Amino acid sequence: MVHTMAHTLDLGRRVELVSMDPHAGDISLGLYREDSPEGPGYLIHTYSANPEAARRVEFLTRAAEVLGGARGAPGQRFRFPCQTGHQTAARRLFLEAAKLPTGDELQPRPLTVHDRKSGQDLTVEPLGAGRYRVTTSTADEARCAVLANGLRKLAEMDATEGQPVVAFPCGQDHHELVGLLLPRALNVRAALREEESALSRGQLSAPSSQK
Amino acid sequence: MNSRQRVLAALNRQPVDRTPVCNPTSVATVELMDLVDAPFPNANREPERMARLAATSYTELGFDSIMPVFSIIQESSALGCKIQWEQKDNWPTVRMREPIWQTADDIRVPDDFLDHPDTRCVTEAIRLLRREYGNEVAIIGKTMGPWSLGYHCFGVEPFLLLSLDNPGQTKLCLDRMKEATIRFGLAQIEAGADALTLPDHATGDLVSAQYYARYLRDLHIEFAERLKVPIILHICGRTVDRMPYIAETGMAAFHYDSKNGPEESMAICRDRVALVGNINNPETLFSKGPEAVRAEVVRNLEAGVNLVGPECAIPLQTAIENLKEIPRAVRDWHNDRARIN
Repeated sequence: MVHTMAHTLDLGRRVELVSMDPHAGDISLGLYREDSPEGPGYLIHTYSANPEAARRVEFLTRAAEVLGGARGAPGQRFRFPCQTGHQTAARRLFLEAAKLPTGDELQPRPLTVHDRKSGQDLTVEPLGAGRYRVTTSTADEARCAVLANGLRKLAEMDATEGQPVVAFPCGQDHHELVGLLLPRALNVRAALREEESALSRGQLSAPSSQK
Repeated sequence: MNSRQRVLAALNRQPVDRTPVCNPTSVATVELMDLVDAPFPNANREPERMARLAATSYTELGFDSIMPVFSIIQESSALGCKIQWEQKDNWPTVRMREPIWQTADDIRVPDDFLDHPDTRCVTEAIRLLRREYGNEVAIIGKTMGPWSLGYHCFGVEPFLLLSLDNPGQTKLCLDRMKEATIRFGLAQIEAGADALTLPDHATGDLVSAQYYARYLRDLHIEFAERLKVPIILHICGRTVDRMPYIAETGMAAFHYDSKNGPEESMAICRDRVALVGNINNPETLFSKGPEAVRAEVVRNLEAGVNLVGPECAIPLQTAIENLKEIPRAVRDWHNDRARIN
């Protein structure tokens, strides 16, 4: 039997995809965004009927709430309490959550990260109203600047000229999100390379362009 | 008109009730693979899965055609090339650094070429689809042209160097490899294909229009004569310079790339060969949203392109909403035109 009824759904705009999830039988997982008067909501969805799929989606949605400080919204969606999209950060949150096996213990990440390059701990100090300052006990301004710049790119935060201070444009705090992004923000180039590598998969090139 | 009638009429440049949405190459995505439990690489090797995944272009996306031959390596596998089958989220490829032939004397299309599992998978999938869908939707097969087979079997660089150094030997190679193209094409027609895509990668980046005229035009005329269904020639890249030659071959249609403007392409092809295309894959279908897709569809419709669809096999990670936007935009455009008139 080949024939199938139409099963695809209008879920909103797909903003990110994990094309093969090694923690759930290589199913594909999409992050879909739908805008509403209450603010943009995100839905994690798979079309797979794999027995692990429903549990996986439930775990990832929970991970988005714990690790990213998101809140549950109608239709199994999640959104940020500030009712702003923060789409770049939401995509990163989804990708980071998908690296965890189902059932992993979920805890918000600390606002301190160990920087292996300089051998020191870097801390992000909340200043209120969505602003954060990167500090270190050794006053290594260069590494603070690197971390601030990484956060700016990964979460589309605003920079402050000449200071390792970044701010969410919504003007509200997102401690969990900042904690989650800290390790990645230290090496943002690697994170972007990983994204580029994922983007290049699945594109068919002409034989003349293949190796 | 039903979908099949619409596609076949457009391929013959006859009047249609609306422009058909057609995929001469793959529209498979990883999400559609999940939906019907037909992931790569199995969907390239098992007829039932191949048919099930292919059918989603019609049942889920609303296209007017079904094209089950997702990859470009089925017959190369049957010829003996080594294949990297890859995973669900990537395309199988021929290991062209390990060529199987060096000279024309090496070329041999095995007697059991059509019984190889990777060619038989295609013919069986087409039979399944024909049985399931009858005459309601166009079923399109695919047989690779000899230039593409040359890349696969000789390696890209050796084959191009041969074409520079020894035109006579190159023509002999093409002439021998064309039997694979013909035999696989005829087998798909016999299995129930309404039309055939014939990719022959004389792409704009590596091969000139003069090369096309010297090596391929006569072969393509022969294909159009011997394969008695509409043939859709597919060549990637900038190809406006060779469209005048292509228009002389008797091919029903040319599946053209977004590197060619619809208007300039129609100016050459109108009344001589139908055009299919040319929604951009990497920048539009893969990276942008439905609004950008719609704009490209409308541009093709305004130019009078005969059948609308993606320019080539779409990236496997393409979002479903972008693909569904193609038939939506076509219907809306025709409805708007009907209201105005």
